[in-house]
Amino acid sequence: MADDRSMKGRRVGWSAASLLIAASTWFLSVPGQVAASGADAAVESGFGAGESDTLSTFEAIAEAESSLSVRVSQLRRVLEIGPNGPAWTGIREDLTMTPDPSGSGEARFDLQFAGMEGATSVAMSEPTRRELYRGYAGYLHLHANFRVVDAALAAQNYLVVDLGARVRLDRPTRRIALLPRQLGRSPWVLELDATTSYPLYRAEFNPAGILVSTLEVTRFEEVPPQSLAGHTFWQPTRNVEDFPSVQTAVLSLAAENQPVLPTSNRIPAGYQFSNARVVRELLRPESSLVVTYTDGIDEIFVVSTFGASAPNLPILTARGSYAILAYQDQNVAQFLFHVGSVTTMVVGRAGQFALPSIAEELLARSLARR
Amino acid sequence: MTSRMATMRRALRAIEGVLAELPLAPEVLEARIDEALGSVGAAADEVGDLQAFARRANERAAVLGVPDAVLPLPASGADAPDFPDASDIQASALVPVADWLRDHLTPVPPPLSVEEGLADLRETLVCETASRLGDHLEGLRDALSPVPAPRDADWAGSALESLGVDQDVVRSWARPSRAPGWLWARIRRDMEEARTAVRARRVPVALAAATVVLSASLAVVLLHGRGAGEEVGPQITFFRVDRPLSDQYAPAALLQRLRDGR
Repeated sequence: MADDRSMKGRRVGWSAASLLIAASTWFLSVPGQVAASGADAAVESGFGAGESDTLSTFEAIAEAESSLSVRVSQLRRVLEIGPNGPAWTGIREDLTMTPDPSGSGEARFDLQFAGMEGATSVAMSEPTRRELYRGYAGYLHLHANFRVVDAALAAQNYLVVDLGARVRLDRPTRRIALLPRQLGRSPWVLELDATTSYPLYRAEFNPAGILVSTLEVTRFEEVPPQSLAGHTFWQPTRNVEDFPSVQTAVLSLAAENQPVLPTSNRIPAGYQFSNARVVRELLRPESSLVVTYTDGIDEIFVVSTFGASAPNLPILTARGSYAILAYQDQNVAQFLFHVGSVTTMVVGRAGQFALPSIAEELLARSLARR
Repeated sequence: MTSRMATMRRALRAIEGVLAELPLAPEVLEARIDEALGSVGAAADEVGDLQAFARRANERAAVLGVPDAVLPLPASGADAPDFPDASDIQASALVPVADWLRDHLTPVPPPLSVEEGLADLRETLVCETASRLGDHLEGLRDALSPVPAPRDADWAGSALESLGVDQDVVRSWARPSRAPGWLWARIRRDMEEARTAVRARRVPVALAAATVVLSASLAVVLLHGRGAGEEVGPQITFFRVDRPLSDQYAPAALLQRLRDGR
């Protein structure tokens, strides 16, 4: 934990960091800024896809991830910067997926731990690892790597660049790069199965161009949906209820639980409201409102937890200064503050430099409301 | 490389022409520099690329803690990446940048070292950026920022050599340095001098304006009995922590737990 000697300096530091990130991402955003004017030329030159091609690419990926019945083995890797420098941690997973028979448009899935890549500690048994992993399977599958949340929105916010044909797992593939059209987003490299458009390889870069995570399919098998009829698919471990709007979600909360949510001018350009979810703990009085904003691929989460006890951290500092706790690794950034009995957390990808200002605005408004 | 030197030479002459007209008002100077750089678009493309990749290399080195290493990226000649649809400008911009990438970027982490995708992405970005920088003078202005460009001196050295500058002088420029590129350093120094001169002229006006503002503020305080500072919001501090605030949203931390058994 850092000390609090230079409070103002840290704010300046965050601003400076944001500016640096903005500067570093400018060159990544250049193609996107001009994509609208140069899309046709890009198609002719083979460097990019036109607007309609872009949309159809995202639609095809979304379709593949919701309508295929597959058994997949995959290797998930993330970059970490430790005291000994950069290192990769890899985990093997088995994914089973099939369309939801209720017609929700979402796939049912089951993501299982299948082992670690490389040496592991003996302090934890494999069954314990599987159990620990199970609690995070939903987030890992739905949010931790590339996924098309909204194809139309993704087409507005990302430029598709065709990198040519490849072969992976003896299947013909098409490799593409997705370049964000705005600052603070991650560029991606995907390798799509030519037959199904399912991504057999996904690589996430941060806005500075550093590879930070990959998801690589090592076995891909299409299976008849009937063969998965008896399979047990993933279910949330907590009581979860989705709402089409923030208003309806808030109405479902107790009257005293009124969240503070970002004003529209704080949400980065290109992001829209995606989902509001109320999570109720089965054995504790806490409840959470999770509001998600997306640019079609990237997501920002604003999590308000009501009835929460204050984290065991120096939340309030001396002389009326209020704290936002900030965590950042190569993949994600988290900002948390606690006012009254409400803990608020803003979460997004590490390169999204709007997150600190969103958290700061939410804290200021939470304090003003008291 | 001959065409590159020629465009470099034209760029240098154009910028020298701007500098010869100093002192100018900063706004005029910036506009003239933009105009000069824009008039030699291919050279500006190369300059922009070098600056951009110098900056990325700096960031990458800072993040990864590895100052310099070799990226196994085919660069030129028979091993040059195949870009059949690139324009001439894109192709000419690619060679020096690929050279630069090979010489200065840190190694690709193991999982992608066997993937051509990273090279594809970078090269595509280079081509996209190179072909569009000429139309985006804002980017050129950005390239004038005082970001350290450790190898810019090498590039400047080769440019000077092509202009017939004495070898000793070239060597003195071409030594590795973390200082800003010499050309940008000179432009910025001249701009700063011009700004300083303007500031000096504006001091009396600024003092008069400050006096008026202070007087008005004092009048407000005397009339209303309180200062504007009382309305300032709470001071907010960011505390950086080294563990995730929620494991649920931190896949890297989860994978570490699974690996380390903690």
